[in-house]
Amino acid sequence: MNAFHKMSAAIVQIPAAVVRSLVSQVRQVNRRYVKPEIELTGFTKVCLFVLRIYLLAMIALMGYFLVQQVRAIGSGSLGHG
Amino acid sequence: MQAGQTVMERTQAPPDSGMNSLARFFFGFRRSSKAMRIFFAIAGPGIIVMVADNDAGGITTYTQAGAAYKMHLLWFLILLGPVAYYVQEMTVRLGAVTKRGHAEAIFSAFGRFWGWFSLLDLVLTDWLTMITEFIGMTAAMSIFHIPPTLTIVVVWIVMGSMILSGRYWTWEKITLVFCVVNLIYIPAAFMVHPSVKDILQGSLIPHFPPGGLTNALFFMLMALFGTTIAPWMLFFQQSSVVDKGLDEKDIKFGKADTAIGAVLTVVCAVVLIIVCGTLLYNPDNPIGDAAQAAKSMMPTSRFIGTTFAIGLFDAGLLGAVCISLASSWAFGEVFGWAHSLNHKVKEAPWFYAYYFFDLLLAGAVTRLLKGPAQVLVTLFVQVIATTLLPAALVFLIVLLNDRKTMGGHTNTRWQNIANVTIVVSIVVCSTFYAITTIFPNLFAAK
Repeated sequence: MNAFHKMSAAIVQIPAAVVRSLVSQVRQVNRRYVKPEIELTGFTKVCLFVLRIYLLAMIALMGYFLVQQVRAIGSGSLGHG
Repeated sequence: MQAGQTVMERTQAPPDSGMNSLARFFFGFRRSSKAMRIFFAIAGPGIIVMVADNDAGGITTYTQAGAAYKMHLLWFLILLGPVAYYVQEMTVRLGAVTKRGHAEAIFSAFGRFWGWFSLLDLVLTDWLTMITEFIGMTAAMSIFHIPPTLTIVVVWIVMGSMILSGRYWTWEKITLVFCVVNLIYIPAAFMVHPSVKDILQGSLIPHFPPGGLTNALFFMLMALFGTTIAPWMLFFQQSSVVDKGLDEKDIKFGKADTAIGAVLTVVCAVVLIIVCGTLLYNPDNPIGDAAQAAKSMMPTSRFIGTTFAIGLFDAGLLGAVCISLASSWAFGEVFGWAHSLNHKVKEAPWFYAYYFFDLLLAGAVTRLLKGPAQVLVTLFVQVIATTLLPAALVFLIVLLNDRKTMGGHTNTRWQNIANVTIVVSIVVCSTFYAITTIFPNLFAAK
């Protein structure tokens, strides 16, 4: 039983340790890249802003698409779109 | 011979030496053979990324294009070759000059938001694309009655073995062998005795097939566009150039490598369309996917059907190899892990752990997915790629215009004009492609 408990604890602790390590590494990455290196022109900044809006719209559309397709699978009528 | 001379200078004929033409020919031959040896040492990333672009999804797209439109779209494919070259060539310059992969370059230049967006989008797109590659490979092998589970396990073993050598060189040479196998379609194009007149007309004269520009044709053109340039290609080639250790002085050979790859990818695509256009042309009821095409060819010629199925498997394997590495390299660059194929597993544990995790998870999920779910993944990956490609291309152009970083390898005006035109076209086409996938009846004729 003692050995079983030890093994169970190890099975839980290993993924937890991996997750903690990854979280710490993500924080390091965020600290390392907090400031962009290159100087962007005004035109480039506007383009990147437009790109953000475009991507937000595309992600919203993709979310809608995914929900529709999952519903179609559920009803057994998956087709194209 | 003087001290300090470069190899190229030593192999040149001395000026005004009065040498005869035979001597000049000799020196010219030595110079050329030296350049060829350097080229063969450097060639690899460009050829691999371009040939791997004809992955399982790409093979299916070309199959459908040939079956539905015969040779009428060959001209469009030929135009896409230079487009792919111009885009990929930028990654060669960026990787050789900065010695950084694309993911790290985006984080450094544009900050955390765009960095995480690009990385996570790449990982998701790559993982879903890996599943489509596994779907293609299992479908190809099922033609020979090989169970999907066995196919997946064999692929795991092959892909795992390829990268465990601890040398980038070994992995590259094995992958190039798979690239050569990808040319297996070429003999089939001669065996089907296609109409040379149709091929010439389809290749040299831009035109629409009978029926004009329908919704279905528009969708197909955009699918062809989307399959030629995929986001993972940018990340893969740049990281591969860095891992291989290419330098600024190797850029011209890297460009030649990419150009040859672009030619090969167009040749494969053209050959596929010729084979399918000749054997499977049926505009009213075109073939659904490449595996179905291979099965349909078996009654006509077992050899052609078999080579088609083997080619499909090889395409899926090549795609899976490159896509999984693109993600692993990207993660390694950003997190600061050791991330080179020249490192053994003990030296780069996180890099290899991610690679195997990605590979095993994609294979396992493929096995669990059935019919409609597989269709969903295939459709979804086509849509999700449209979110990453425009952003990755915009970042690429901005980075290539940063004179402080790129020095003499900054984009010229004409390169900017060409690349911006390509990027705008890709953004417009991919957006329309995504919208017509999500809302297929939006532009339907009433």
